[in-house]
Amino acid sequence: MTQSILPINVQVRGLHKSFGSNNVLSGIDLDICKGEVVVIMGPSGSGKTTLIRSLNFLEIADRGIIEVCGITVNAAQFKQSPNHQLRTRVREIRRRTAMVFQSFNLFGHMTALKNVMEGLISVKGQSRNAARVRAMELLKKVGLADKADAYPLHLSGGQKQRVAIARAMAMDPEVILFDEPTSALDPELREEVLKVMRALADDGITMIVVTHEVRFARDVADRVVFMEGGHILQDCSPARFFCGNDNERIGRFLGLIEA
Amino acid sequence: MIELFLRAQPLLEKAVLVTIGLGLASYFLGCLLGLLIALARISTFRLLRCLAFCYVSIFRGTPLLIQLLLIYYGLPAYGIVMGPIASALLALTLFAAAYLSENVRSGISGVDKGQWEAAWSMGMSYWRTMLRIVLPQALRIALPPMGSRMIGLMKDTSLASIVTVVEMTRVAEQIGAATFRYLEMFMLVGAIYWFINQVLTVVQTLLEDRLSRHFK
Repeated sequence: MTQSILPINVQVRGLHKSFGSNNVLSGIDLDICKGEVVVIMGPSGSGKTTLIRSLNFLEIADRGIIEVCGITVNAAQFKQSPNHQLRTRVREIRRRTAMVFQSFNLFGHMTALKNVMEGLISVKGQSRNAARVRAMELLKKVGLADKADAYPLHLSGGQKQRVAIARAMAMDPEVILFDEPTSALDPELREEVLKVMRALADDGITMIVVTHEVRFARDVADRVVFMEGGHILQDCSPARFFCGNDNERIGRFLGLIEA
Repeated sequence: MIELFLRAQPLLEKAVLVTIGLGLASYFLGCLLGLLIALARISTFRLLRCLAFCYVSIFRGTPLLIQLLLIYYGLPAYGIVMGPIASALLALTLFAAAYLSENVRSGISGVDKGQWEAAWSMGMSYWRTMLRIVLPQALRIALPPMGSRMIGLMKDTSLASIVTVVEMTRVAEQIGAATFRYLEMFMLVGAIYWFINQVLTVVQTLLEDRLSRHFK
């Protein structure tokens, strides 16, 4: 495969996480190359959301090694004694990645434009003017320049998610994590969000997407990772995944979501 | 009746200013202290959390009058002597801060966790997130109970009369004693308290509308 020549952007080794007696992640190993679009699928409770939230430490795994953009953090160490050095590394990982949430999480007291500007000012230390220009460009890119002054309350779900994507893009992330970005949307609104995501994939940014969108996975993804019960059951190309998958469990899952 | 009010007027004018000044000053100082206590209460440092908890427990769990008497009559025994107004200001501030800290804390915990996560996922620090993302939204949630506190505090200033602060209640008492017309005098200052609080209610409503414009 040609992918192996590309530098590795995200590396996960032996990731474990349990909530009480429930093992959500039981030893995940995963390598993702620069520029790859990886779709993570699986039934609910299979650990896919926990996995991507572990990558930027919104969820802290019990043990395992996470390396993102060349920054390595031992999850167990961070959990037990999050000292200054480890916290700085986690901050650095967060600065170099971005996340898009199922529930959008736009800042409710700020306009669309201010939402996109916030990270540029607060994290990248840009001036208000520079941030405004850049934020406007990004809103144009997601087709929402005319909504710059609207508050999240007055935006549709699809518009909110597009603002959230613009906000994520403003950080110039090397990796974007999508946590079920279209699950809270009706079919029409989904399409406008997926369109923006396809454009991002064409830009060559590394994307890790937890989703049930079969068409997106089939058309856009370089790889599909199927999870169940905290394990990775299959990790292969979309062509292999969707066309006559010989794994009985996955076949059943696909039968249900494609029906 | 008229001649009584005319006689009271010069004293009352000053007394109204003292009441309003005492109420507003202790409220704003109480807000600042209350904010710090709320932040300590949700801190990751156990000691800070514990101190904040004890503070609220003590100042919310004992009568304001006792706190005031302790400061004015009790502290001089330890060499700390404060004038009537300073004593009243301190007592009202400490008392108000205990309640206000709980209002702020519930406001902060009322902000959706997703707001924190969105800011953290961009690499924002805890304090930056608190200041720019969480507190502005927490304030909106906390505004109604904080407004009630302001009104409550304005009425609590009447206790300062006990430690000889010449505010409205004390003036009513003095003139009442001199003229034996307690009824009219207490009715009058009662009406002034009511009027001040109606104005505050209107201000609170306007502020609430302004802050929640984008959320309805």
